[in-house]
Amino acid sequence: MYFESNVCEVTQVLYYDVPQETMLERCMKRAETSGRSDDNAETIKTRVQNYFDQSLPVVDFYKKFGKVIHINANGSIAEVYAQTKEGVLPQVMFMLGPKASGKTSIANLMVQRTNAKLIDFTHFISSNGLEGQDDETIVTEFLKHLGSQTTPRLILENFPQNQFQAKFFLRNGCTPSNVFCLSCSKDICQERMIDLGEGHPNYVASSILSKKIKQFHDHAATLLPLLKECTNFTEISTDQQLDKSLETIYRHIEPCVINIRQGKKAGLCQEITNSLCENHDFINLDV
Amino acid sequence: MIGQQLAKLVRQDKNVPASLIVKMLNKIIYSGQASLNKFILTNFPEQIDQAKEFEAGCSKIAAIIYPTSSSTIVDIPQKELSMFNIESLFQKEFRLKTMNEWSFQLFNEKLGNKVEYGVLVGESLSGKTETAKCLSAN
Repeated sequence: MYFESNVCEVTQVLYYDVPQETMLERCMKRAETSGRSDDNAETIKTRVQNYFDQSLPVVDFYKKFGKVIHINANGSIAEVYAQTKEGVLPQVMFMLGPKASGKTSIANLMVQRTNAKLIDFTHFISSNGLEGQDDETIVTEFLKHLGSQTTPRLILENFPQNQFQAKFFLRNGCTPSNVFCLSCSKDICQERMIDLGEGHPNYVASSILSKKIKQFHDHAATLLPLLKECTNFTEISTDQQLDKSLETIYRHIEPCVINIRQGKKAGLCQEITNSLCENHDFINLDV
Repeated sequence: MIGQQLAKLVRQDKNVPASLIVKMLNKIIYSGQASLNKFILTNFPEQIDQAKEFEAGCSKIAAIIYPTSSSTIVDIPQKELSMFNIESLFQKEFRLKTMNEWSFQLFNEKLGNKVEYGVLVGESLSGKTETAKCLSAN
């Protein structure tokens, strides 16, 4: 609490979970070569006990706020590193679709409601002078950029643009929690562009719009089958009204939230809460 | 910081506005960990306005579970009945679910979920156990 009040908010807690015996075993192994006088069985046992008494309650405290990332530290260094890498990267969602299919409008509404930040990949490329660079360089820079984000959830618009970028991201970054591909008929896209009006910064002439839509579908022919196979992929029609499309997306990303009332049967409310939390991974948010 | 604003209001013995509670819950519910996706709200929302604020700014409430002594009758005490009563709103939208005993299967059915399962077959040492472990972990 002192740290939070005087320095800054803690956004994530990495909790390396390992049994007490393994902890002692590892410390004793380190003692063989460390040369530290306090690396002896007695002191190590006291240190481990202090950890359980004083440090572990801090983890329990942050668990209530959903900030603890549980890492099973019982495996090899490589396995623990892989879990850590996955843990520190924000949760990402891909938002794909042809121009004027409603990606930005939908993503902006999702941002407000789901504690996320929107990053437009095409804007990232132009603002970082990466036009004309090869896909590997661009995605490497993009991953660095994502690693520096403090927001826990990111919506990546217009990413990936091709199969190579997708494969590279999946191999070197993380798997997106959701991929939404908006589908929209060419006529509706054209109509939306006309509604925008020539004065709008995103307006493009009909011929250019057709070219951009074609470009998207050309890449989609190889990109979408890969994403369908490797990710949690959902195709959403945006020919319908925006709030209908949004409703469908929320059904995929919103958690299961329930409220249990005290009711008329004494003790049952507590029994349900305890069972759901202990056996079924529910988190009790006691306001 | 939302937490500090909340603490200040509580220290001053002032009412905490629902919008602030929703903001705090939003940060916890959408913490960026995909595996944390099941939540029980306790002591909130207590009023229809709070429920509406939560659903507009955070997430839909799948159901209100109402423990009752009968499986079919919702016996809300008369003194609690009003048009601002949260149970009556959820009852109207078929989201008030009664339970007279605890059973996870029944709970799932009430929420409209069905248990999904698959069958994993293969020859001896073909990797069934490892595959099952991976599927169960993910």
